[in-house]
Amino acid sequence: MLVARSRLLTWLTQNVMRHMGVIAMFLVLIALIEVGARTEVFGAHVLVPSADMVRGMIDIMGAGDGWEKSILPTVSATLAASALAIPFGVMIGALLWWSSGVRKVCEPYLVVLPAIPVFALYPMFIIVFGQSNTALILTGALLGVVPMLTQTLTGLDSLPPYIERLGRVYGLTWLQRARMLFLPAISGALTTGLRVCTAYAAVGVVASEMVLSSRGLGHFIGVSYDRFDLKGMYGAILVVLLGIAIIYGVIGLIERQLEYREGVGR
Amino acid sequence: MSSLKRFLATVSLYAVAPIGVIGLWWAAASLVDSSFFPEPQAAFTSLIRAFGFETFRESVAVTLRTLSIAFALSASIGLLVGLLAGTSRKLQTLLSPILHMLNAVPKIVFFPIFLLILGLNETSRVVFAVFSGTFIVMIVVMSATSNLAPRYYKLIDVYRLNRLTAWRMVIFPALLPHMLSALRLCLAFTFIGLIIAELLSGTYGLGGEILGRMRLVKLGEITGIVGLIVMIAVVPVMLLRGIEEKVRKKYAPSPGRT
Repeated sequence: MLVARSRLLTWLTQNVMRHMGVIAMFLVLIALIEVGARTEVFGAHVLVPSADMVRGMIDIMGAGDGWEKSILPTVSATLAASALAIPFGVMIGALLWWSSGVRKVCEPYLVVLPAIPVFALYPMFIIVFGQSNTALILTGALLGVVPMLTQTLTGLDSLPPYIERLGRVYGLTWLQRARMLFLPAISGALTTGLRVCTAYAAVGVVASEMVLSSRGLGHFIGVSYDRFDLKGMYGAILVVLLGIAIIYGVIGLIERQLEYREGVGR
Repeated sequence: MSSLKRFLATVSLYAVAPIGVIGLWWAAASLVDSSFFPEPQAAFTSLIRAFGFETFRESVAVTLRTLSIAFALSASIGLLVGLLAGTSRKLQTLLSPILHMLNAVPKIVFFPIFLLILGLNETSRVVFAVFSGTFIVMIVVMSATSNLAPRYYKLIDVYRLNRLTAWRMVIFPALLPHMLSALRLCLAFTFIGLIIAELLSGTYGLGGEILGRMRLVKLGEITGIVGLIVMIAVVPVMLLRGIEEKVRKKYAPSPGRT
């Protein structure tokens, strides 16, 4: 019991020391919010006390309406966008790695892909598909496909040559090689791609909802801003940030597990 | 002659992908044959027609002006903070996790806060674009400065260079490729931030033009404007990439001469 407590204490101290900067920033941020909200610096029309922000977040997460009209539509659109972006990203990345001709032609443009403001396409999608989930999902997927593609390509580029030789020695088909050798070998790069792809898809969905939508967290932020419902607006912003943190946390955990397993294997 | 051949080969290589994309677009549009899927020439002529209106030319100018101001600000703030943090171990320990966290958060959700504080005007769009683009410069420059190879410091010691000469002749050239890489990313993120801000503001710049045409269901013109936005995003980034490669070739140490 004592050993466990001292381990916990050591772990806590180490983590607090390591993240001193972030903790200090949070404390300063909370202090600034409190001062800003309670004095004339910003005033009540710009900021609300941090407790109200948290209360706003709890209100959205606690109400059935908040889940049904805001959280679930955003989560489902994000999942659908990721489900579309992940296989496409992996396939395009694999094609670029496999075909040197296609890669030669596309390589100069790979570096500028993240620079393209995909959000500008959302109004086009709205005209074509109507104010539906399809437009949201397509925007999210287009934003998510780039990191997935680049991570797949990075992973495949870093494959040691013996992996391919191993496949040839055992007479494996292309599909078997992909399933049994390549995918496990690039799992680290793929999980990194998965993490960034999902987070980008979520950003794409929320941003599109903010531009034009009738549901979702982005829509909720926009409507709360229009109505000067600052508690609701800051609450919804906190929900989005929490969601992104959960995506990073959960996939980061999987990433670390994979790294650990790779380490054990070696 | 060989350099001309090399130039032509590079140009044709760069041209294959856009020509392929436009060809695919044209084939798909001809196949679908719908007013909801304009052909490339329709989008292009719509864009040319839009340039005939002064309001549209003004919107293009607004976007380019705002982008220039925001890029200049985010690049200079980012370079300054990145260099300062990279040269001070204490500052880096404090700032590094904060910058990484700020870079990872989806900045779009903060735009309404910028609107509340600064109002629905050019300032809020500039500040939001700076907020979108500056952290990546800070991170890249900070990590490049702090991870500068020890051989450069040895060189400074051997030649007993004073601080100014050391920065001018050794450290700055060594950091230059990283700075250019940071500026390229900064330009990309700043422009994305600006387009988001214009789309959310609804009435300004090219983002506002797109939203205005969305209400009127003018798909051809929207496609043309999106093409223009892609050009504004891609061309400077590719130019910066070209300069970056040249600088990298010039200043990168030869193998074996570490």
